[in-house]
This record gives sequence, structure tokens and C-alpha cells, in this order.
Amino acid sequence: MQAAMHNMTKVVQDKVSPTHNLPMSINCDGPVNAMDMNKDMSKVVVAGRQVFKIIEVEDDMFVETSNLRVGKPKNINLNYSAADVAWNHNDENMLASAATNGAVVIWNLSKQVKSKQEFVFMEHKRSVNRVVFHNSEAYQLLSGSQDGTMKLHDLRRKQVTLTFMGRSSESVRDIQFCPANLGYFSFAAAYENGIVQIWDMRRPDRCEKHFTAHNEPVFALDWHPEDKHWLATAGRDKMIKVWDINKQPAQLLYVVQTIASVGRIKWRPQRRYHIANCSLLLDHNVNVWDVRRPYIPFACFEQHKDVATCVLWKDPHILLSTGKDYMLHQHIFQSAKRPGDFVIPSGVDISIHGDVCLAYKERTAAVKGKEAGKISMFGRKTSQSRSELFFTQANSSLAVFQQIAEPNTEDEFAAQQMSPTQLASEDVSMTSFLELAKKYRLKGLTTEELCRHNSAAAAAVDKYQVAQTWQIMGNIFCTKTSSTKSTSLQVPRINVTPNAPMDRQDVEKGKAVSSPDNEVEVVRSDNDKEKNGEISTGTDSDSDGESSEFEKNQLADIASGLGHNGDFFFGDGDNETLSYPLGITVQGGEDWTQLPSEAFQPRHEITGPAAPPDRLDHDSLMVAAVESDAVAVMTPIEESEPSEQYLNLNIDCSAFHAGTVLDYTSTAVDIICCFAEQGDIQSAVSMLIVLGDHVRSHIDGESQENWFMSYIDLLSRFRLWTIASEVIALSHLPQVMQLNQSSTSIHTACPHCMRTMERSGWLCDRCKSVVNMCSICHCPVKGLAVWCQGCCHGGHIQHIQDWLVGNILCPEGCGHMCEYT
Amino acid sequence: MANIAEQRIRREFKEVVKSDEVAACNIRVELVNDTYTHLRGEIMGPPDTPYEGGRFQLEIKIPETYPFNPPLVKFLTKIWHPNISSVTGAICLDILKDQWAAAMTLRTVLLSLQALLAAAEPDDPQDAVVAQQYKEHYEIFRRTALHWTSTFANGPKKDKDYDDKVTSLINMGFEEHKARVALSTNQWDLTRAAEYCLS
Repeated sequence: MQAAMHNMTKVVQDKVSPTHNLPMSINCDGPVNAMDMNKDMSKVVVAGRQVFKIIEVEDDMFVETSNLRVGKPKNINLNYSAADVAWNHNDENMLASAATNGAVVIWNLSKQVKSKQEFVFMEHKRSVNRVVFHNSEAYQLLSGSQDGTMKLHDLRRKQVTLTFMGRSSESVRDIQFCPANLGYFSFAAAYENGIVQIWDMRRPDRCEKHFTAHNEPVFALDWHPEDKHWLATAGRDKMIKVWDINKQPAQLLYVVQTIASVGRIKWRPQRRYHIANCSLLLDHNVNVWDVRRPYIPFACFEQHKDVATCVLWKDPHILLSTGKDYMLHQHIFQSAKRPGDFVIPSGVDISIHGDVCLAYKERTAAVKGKEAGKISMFGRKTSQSRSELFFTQANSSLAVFQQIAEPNTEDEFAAQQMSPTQLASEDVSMTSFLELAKKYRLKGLTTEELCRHNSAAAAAVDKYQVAQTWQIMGNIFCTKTSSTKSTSLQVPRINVTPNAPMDRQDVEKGKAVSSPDNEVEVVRSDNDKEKNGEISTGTDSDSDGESSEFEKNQLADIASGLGHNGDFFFGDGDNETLSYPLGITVQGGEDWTQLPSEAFQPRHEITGPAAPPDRLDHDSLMVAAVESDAVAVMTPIEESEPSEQYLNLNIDCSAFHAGTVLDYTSTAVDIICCFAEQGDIQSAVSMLIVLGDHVRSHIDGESQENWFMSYIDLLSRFRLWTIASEVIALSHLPQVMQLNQSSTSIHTACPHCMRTMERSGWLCDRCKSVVNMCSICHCPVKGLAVWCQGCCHGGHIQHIQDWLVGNILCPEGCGHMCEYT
Repeated sequence: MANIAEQRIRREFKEVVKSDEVAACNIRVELVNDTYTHLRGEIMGPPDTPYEGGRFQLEIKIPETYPFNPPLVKFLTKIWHPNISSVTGAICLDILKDQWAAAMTLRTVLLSLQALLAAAEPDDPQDAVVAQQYKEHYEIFRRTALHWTSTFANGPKKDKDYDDKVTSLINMGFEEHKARVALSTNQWDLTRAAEYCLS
């Protein structure tokens, strides 16, 4: 009655404040094999090879109340070492333990003597794996042994009343009575050969049900506390299986995959789908699984330092476990680790049509931004090449996901089918691959034009990153030529500039407007080289005009910040080391505003000797151009503030560009390799082909061959034979190019004897005659041949043409009026 | 000479030299000068014809446009044949005119001419006198052809009667070839032949 009251209180307490209990633990001074609780869950018995203790469960701590392993050391035999232990559900004082020597020991806690051992059954021949009391019949004890038998002991008569033996006489690893209110006489037994049997206590001759649950030994089973048809089994095959044994044969409902052999399983009370397990080896954690989610534990307790051996639910929120690390732990469910929370639960699958379905967990609206960030990180998982710095923005297109308004409350999973337009931007969509394969031009134009064309093609299918890369590639490998061009064309300007009358008003007006613009231009000029190139040619055409006119235009351009580009472009575009006079570079780096007069002085000196127009030295021309421009602006204005700003821009630019002369080739190689690593073999190969000699020598042949082969293989799969053949022809790798020759063979037959001609296409070995001769010149036709479809006579196209000028009949004399169209 | 023509003639020349017919002495061809433009051909008179045993010389001229145009062929040896002029040796054969085909070679041309000797085509004559004789007095034609062959082509068989008639006409003071032509044209009637010579 008191116990019942206590229980009642517990239940109430559970409902009111389920988290009242604290996690706690006690050291049991030895590895623990098993434990059991008394009916009101106030005491725990722990048993092991060296341990046999009763421990009281207080609210905030464990208290060891008695040690059953007492007596003189010589008297302590194997009967004190337990493989399993059970507490009678009805008699508070009665315990049973299973010993490894085959003994089943009954303990009576009410005995007044120190040794509580009451009786020993020595019926089993081998070690006993499990002992269980019947839930209602206080004196019925069932034991399962390694010898393949299960014996029902009557504790009053102190003898074995029934022996159950399966046909196979395999070792019994676990037995469990069906929960009291569900099946009074039923119990289940698990065998080492993977078989699970359901027995009726009244029929010892044969089992009620028999099914193979696992491929390997079954180590544990547990009846569902609420559903009498559900039985969970677990074994060495690392699986926990849930069966509906009402069906015939038993139906497998759920399978939970764990990482190690399962030693014990225990259903969580009041939670239909939760089951706790501990492992025999490897995994020290006690895991609680939701059987519907088979790969990630629902909750996880990581306190044990060694393998956990036994788990028991005190109530749905409190879990007790013992382990080989001597410890008995009480776990509070709320404090459990939830592994499911640490994974990003996203699933991606591709349908046969190339549609991508993405399912991901939707948390609260508050972490929306964070979530999006994570996803875009996913998209950007690339090697951090230097080129990456220039166009990180392009990657963000991958992060276009719609947010789900209403997350699923039960599991907080939200699945979403992406719309077709989003699919198009996805890398995995093959339509863009096909489009690009057809649109890319790999030859026939200059590198720059090819790059521009391909960039446009990539942009058309929303591959902006690829498009951008093409553009950069084009600029990297083409500015060299254009820059030298513009420099040489700069020569007439040098003539004009210093001599031309300077309109001071113009300049000042220009400065007033220009300063802020110029600042912007300096920044933009870096990544907008293409534009610069165009502008520089624009100024070329200007220079053809009348000189004073040109000056005005020039200044107007400067004012608007346009012509300005052209001015420092020839510095910018030159990839070779720029040999500016030291003074200028230094000024660029320094804070020049404090020393305006010194800053300009050296420039006047340099202007004189640097100006000769007919000098062809490249670098000095460049300098001259820069210098003379600066002088042109500077001379009339003296040291006015706006002009200083302007000068600053010039110097800044030159210094800046001189400092950022990159080894573009290695960058390009990095980019190509990056694309290949990302799996975008199309871009990698196309760029490799287009850039050709610029980069080919920098990438090792084996990778190149792999890329080509992959790309060709892909193209072939999509039946783009023509493109594949073109790629092969452009590959420049002998291993690849031979594909075109080895895989194509045409057999010809002699028209006279119809035998295949093996040695050559024009000589029949058998007839010893030359075949396919030209009707006119009687020579074998190598090259363009033409023949009449009517009479099959023909020959060199030129000869036939000549023949038909004066004749209408076949040159072979067959009398056919040959027709050629 | 155009490259293609010379190439072809070289090949065809070799072909004739190596051919079986040469081995059987039926046809022959030889160069007249170093260029391949001018050749000398020879064919045997086909058996079972009045021309049997005779060797007939042919002049072959390869035009610049060969093989688009046929070679120019004529008999050097005088021959009595409806399709061959007894005066000039010109040949009336379709394949040497509009039926020429580029596929033909020197060898086929020579063999065709040999066939022409065996099968005259009086309905498409080159020499109308001979053709008329061929159609109206075939026996006289046959003997005349035999006579011509023996006279000009070293034919083995001689016609004593005709030889005598030629001799008698020569004795009348006429030139030999003129006498022979006159007799041949006038069915070997001495009187008419004499008149023919005088007219």
C-alpha cells in the first residue's frame, strides 16, 4: 500500500515536474553486468562479476544500502558472480541471479543473517544468460541458459517444474515475459542462431511462434509495454527490429541501424516509438531511438566511459544505466544529447528527368538568415583560389531557396519541390550542359573573341560564374596585345600634348566636376579592363583629328572621367614590369598632399628627355605618355588644389597597377583546375581548348587527359557526336586524338570480285587490279571523286567536269547519258 | 602536251606492249619520235577475211585534248575497205568520232579497227565506190581486197587473174597504182578501166 502510494506520488510528480530529478551516479567498485529495480523503483540491485549490491535511489543521490557479496573470501564462489539479476515484482525481498556456472541463485533480503543467499538451483549445465520473474506469479522464475533450455522454477517447491527446449537446442540469450496485462502466459525467447520464439508457459513441448529475426545471434528482446503484439529484438548484426508478432509470419515493422552489436534494449514507457539500447562493444553511449528514424539516435547519453551493460527506465524521463566502467548512472531525459539536432537534415535527390528535390529542416523564422548563409556556404564549397576573391558574388545564385511558411510541427521537417526556373540555375541540370556544349565555340576566332562568345553563351543559360570566368580569361590573355597597340598609338599624342595651348578654364571646370568621378574610376578600372580597352582605342581615333580640337576633347574627357581611363590604361594594361621612375612610385605610396611642390618637381625634369616621339622603347614611351599627360595638366595650373587631386589619381593608378602585376597564367590554371575539381568538366575543358598554348604546359598531361576523356564521354552519352569529335580534334593530346582514328574504320570491297580490300583502298589483292579508276585519266582516284548514279562510272571531279563540257554520254563509253547535279 | 594526255598515253603504250595481242603479233604500236603525240600502229588482218595475213600500218596522232577527244587515226597502208578511204586511208569508225569514250585506250582502238576489218559496215561508208562494190559484187570486192592486201600489206595470197589485168593495163602505158585503182573501181573490166584511166 505504501509502495503503491509512493508510486502514485511518483506518477503525479512526473506529470507536474518531470525534470525534478537530477542526474546522478555512483561507483559500484566493479564492472556491472546487470541490474534490476524493485517494484516501486526505490532500490536498484546491481550485479557483476565482483559486485552484488543493493543501492537506494534517493531524490538527489544514490546510497548503497547493502552488499550481498559478503562472507569469508574462501566461501565466495561463482554463485556470487552474476551475469543477470532480477527483482521479484511482487515480493520486495526476493532476488534471483544467474551465475556463469549454470547456477540460478535465489536471494532473500529479509534474512537476518549477513548472507542473504537462500537457495541455489543447479539445473543448467552451462551458464545462465537471463533470469526473469513472472509479472504476477510471485514464485515463478524463468531462466534461460547457454545450454539451450529454459527452465521454469517454482520457488516454493524449490524445484524446476517445466523445461522448455527449442528444437535446435541453440543457446538462449534472452527471455522476457509478456507484460502482465497483455499476455499472462506468454514469453519470448531469443536464440543465438537468430531465431525468436514465442512460448506459452502451459505448453512446454513446442513453441507458439517461431521466426528468424536476425542473421546473427539475438542478444536482447523486449515486449512493447503497451502493444502486446510488438516485440523488439536486437543482436550482433547491429540492428534493432520491431516485429508485429500477431501477423503470420511475424511482420517486420521497423529497423533501427546502430553502429555496434546491441546488448540490451528497453522500450521507453509512455512513448510508443522510443526504445533505449546499449551496445556490447564499441559504443559506450546509451541511445534512445525513435524507431521511425532509424539512423540517428533520438537521444544519447554519453556519461559512460566503458560499454554500458544494462538500461532501465524508471519513468519516461529518467533512465538508469550501468556499465563496465563501474558506474551506475541516472540520466535525466531532458539533459540528453540530441544528435538529430546537430545534423543538418537535408536530403537531395535527382529524378530521372534531372529535377532536383531538396528537403531540409526548417527551423524558426528567427534563424532564417543564418540558415540561408549555411546553404550558400554549401554552394561555395570550393577551393579558395586567388581568383575566387574577384567574384564571390556570383556564387550567391546557388542560395536561392524559398522559405517555407509553415514548418511541420511533428518532426519539424519541411520538404520543398524546387520550381523549374530554380532548377535551371542549378549546376546539376543537364539542359544547360547541352546548351553550352552546342553553343561554345572552341576555334575559328581569336582567343579574346572566343572568350567573349562563350561568356555570352554561359550567361544565356544563367551560369554567371562561368560567364564571368570566361570574360576574365579573355581579358587576361588578350590585354597584352591590346595594351602594346594602344601604347604605340599613343605616340602622336606625346607630340601634341606638351606643345598645345592649355585652356585653363577648361581644366579647372573639368576638375570641379571630375574629382569624385575619378575616384570611382580608379576602383572600377581594376575589374573592368575590357571597358578600358575599348576606351583606349576610342582615344586613338580622337588623336587623328585636329590637334587643338583634340586637346579640348581630351580635357573634356578628363573632366567627365572618361578619357581619364584611357590615360592610365596603358599603364594598367601592361603586364610587364613597369619601370616607372622611382620618384613617381614613391610618391604614389606616400602622403603626397603634404609635399606638393616636391612632388611635381621631378616630373618636369623627366619630361624633357622622355618625350622624343620617335623612340620605340616600349617602357619609355609609356612613361612619356604618363608624364606628358601629367605635365599637360599641371603646367598651367601650377599648384592648385584640384590639379593635385588629379595628379594623385595618376600616380595612384600607376603605383596600384604596378603593384598588382599578377602571374595571370597561374591564376588561369588555378581557375581551370578549380572548375575541374568542382566537377564542371565542361568549363575546364572548354577553357583549356580556347586558351590553348597559354595554359596547356602548366597542367600535367594526365589530368588534362582525364578531363578530356570525361568530357568526351559525357558528350557521347548525350549523343553530341559532332561536338565530341571536335573536342577530340582540338585536344592536342595524342592519347585523346587517336580516339578519332582508332574507333572509325571503313571497309571497302573490290567492285569486281566483291572481296574486301585489306591492304589499301584502291588495289584489290585478288584481282591484282586497281579499282575505282578515273574514267578519264585511268588513275586511281585519291581525293574528291564523283560518279554517275546511273551507270556508276566516274572519276576525278575536275576530269568529269571537263568531259561533260563536250560530251553528254558517259566517259566510260557505256552509252549512259550521265547526269550530275 | 597536257599532263593528263601524256600520262595516259604512256600507260596505254605500256598496256599495248605488254598485252596478249602483241604476244600473238596481232597488234603493235611504236613511237615515231620522243614525244607521245605521234605513234605508229600496226594491225594484222583478221583471219577468214580478205585481209588475212596482211600487216596494216596506222598513223596515230594524239591530240592535245586527249582523252577528251579521240586520237586521230588513219591507215598508212592502202586498203580496200568500205569504211576506209582507199585514197587517204581515213577511217570511218564511230568510236573515233562521236562515239569516242574516255575509257578507251590505244589497245581498244587498235582492236576495234581490227574488228572493223572483219566486219565492214557498207551502209555507213567512207569510200562509196568500195561500199557499192561490197554490196553489189561481193565476190569481186573480196578478190579486190585480197589483191590490195597482197600488193600493199604483204598478204600471202595472190590473185593471178587480177595481177595479170593490172600488168596488161600497165603495158597499155598507164601508171601501176592508177591502173589498179581503175580496175578495182570498174569491177576489173579492162575496157572500162582503160576508159576510166583516159578520162
